[in-house]
Amino acid sequence: MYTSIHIRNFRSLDDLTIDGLKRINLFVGKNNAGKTSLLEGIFLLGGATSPNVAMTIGYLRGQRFDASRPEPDPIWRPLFARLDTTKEIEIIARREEEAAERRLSITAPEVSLVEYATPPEEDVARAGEEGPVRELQFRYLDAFGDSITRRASVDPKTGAVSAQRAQRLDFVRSSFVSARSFSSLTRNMDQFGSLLRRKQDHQVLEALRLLDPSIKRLEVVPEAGGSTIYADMGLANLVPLLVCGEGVVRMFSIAVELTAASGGVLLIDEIDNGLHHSVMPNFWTQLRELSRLHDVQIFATTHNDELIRSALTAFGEGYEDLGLYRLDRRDGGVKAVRYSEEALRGVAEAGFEVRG
Amino acid sequence: MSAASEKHALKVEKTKLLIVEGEDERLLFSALLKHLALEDVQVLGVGGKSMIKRTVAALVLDPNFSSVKALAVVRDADFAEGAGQANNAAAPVAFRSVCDVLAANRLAVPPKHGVFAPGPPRTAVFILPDGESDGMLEDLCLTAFTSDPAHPCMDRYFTCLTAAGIAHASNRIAKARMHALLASRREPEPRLGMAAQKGHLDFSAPAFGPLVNLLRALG
Repeated sequence: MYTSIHIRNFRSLDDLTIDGLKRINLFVGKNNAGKTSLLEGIFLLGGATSPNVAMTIGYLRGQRFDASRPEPDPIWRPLFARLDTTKEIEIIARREEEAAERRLSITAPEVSLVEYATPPEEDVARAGEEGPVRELQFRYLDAFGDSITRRASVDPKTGAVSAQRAQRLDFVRSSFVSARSFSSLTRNMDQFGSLLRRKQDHQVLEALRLLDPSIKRLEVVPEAGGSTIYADMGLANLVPLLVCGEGVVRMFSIAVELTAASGGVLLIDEIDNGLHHSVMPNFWTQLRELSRLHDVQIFATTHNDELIRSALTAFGEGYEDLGLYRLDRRDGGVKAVRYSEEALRGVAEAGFEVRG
Repeated sequence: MSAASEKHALKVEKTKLLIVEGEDERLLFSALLKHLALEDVQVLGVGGKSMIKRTVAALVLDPNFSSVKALAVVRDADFAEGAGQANNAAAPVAFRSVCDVLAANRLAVPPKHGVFAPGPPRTAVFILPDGESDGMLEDLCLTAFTSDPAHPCMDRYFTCLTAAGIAHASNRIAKARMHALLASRREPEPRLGMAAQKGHLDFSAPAFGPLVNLLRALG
């Protein structure tokens, strides 16, 4: 498990340190406080020797290449805090029982000034501007002190983005469930198929039954153009999972990813999406059980007060597995406020607002 | 779902905070602050003295806590654990206990009972009834009722109970005596906080002086 994370010059995070991480970590804060950026930073660290992960997090935010202009700059430049590509991105983390920190630094080594002159008739004259980010360098110092450098770059002739990958010995499996679960359902189907083969699908089914007890089983049905997951809800026909509602799809995504992320990290943006308040206490109990069973550390964001309070209730007095952190925008930067176990008890019992 | 989740979330809304033990105390101190025209103070009833530690830990993390200018904690001295009768050992222990909570949360620690430490935020601790004696809020209120016409009647009532061999709470006698006094009002109200809200307590009585001084310094 990660015990601390330090992120510098990444997205909206100039310099953020979070200590005392637990098995399940819940991040709250106002809009644009940097919660999703934090998850992305942890995800980048998980893929530290696979620079194509820098494209993946753009996709998770809904960014897409324009086919007529396959330029990665719109995805890569916003990785840098304040769009300043001269400042190195650093993501540093420590894991339990590891003496050395893991350290990822990302730079844009070949951003040049494109010189040109605006036509004289324009009111605002510019003599040049920074060129597009066409290469990212990932330098990773692993838990054993070894350094690995890999690049993602654009082929200047074809515009295609390619990324060098490398094996690493301290690999941590990392999965990201974005705020929009429907987009990841195709990937989840493959993972669910794998769980079926390993006879681990019952854990996913149990999680779904928290939301809808009428779901009796799940089935992968091969169809033209790919497989589809159906739910047996006791009706004459099976029902496509996609039409079972956002909460069910969301829970399916989380349960599948959690089971598949065994031994690693699961990042969930807006974990409460689609969840009715009545299922929240059971949701936490299930999540805690699965995360322990599969040894998965969870990092999740939320704006939902009921979800936070149901977590405090579900985790009881001990809170040894639960961390709550608020990201505050202060003095031009983002700072993390960590709730101690004592403070969590105060929040739970006195009913303090924690979301900022 | 906890009871806390069913009510509006608590948050820092004023720059002066008064932490008291429970809802009864919250009502009483709100009435006292109103009497003193000090309405810019937020009174937080924390649900018992054992909750002070965790409440302060959560309070200092509130997004608005940085705006707080002054914070006072008022709690009962009660009685020393295991002591069969009052021995005036509880007040210093209670004072140290609250000071430890303040220190653990990186707040200023007041030098002595009823005195503010410079902050920010300024902090003070008041141990009821008077910072020295064992006892509780009701002991202070009883003192304020000394000249009340019902006081001798209440005394005789408890003398009668003792003579009749009827057992009553030995270290909570102040609560029982206050109940008896409050039963004498035209609109009886056994709960101290509600009684204060109804105007049954004379806050101008000298017994409330040190507490009034603290609240004036807070507000």
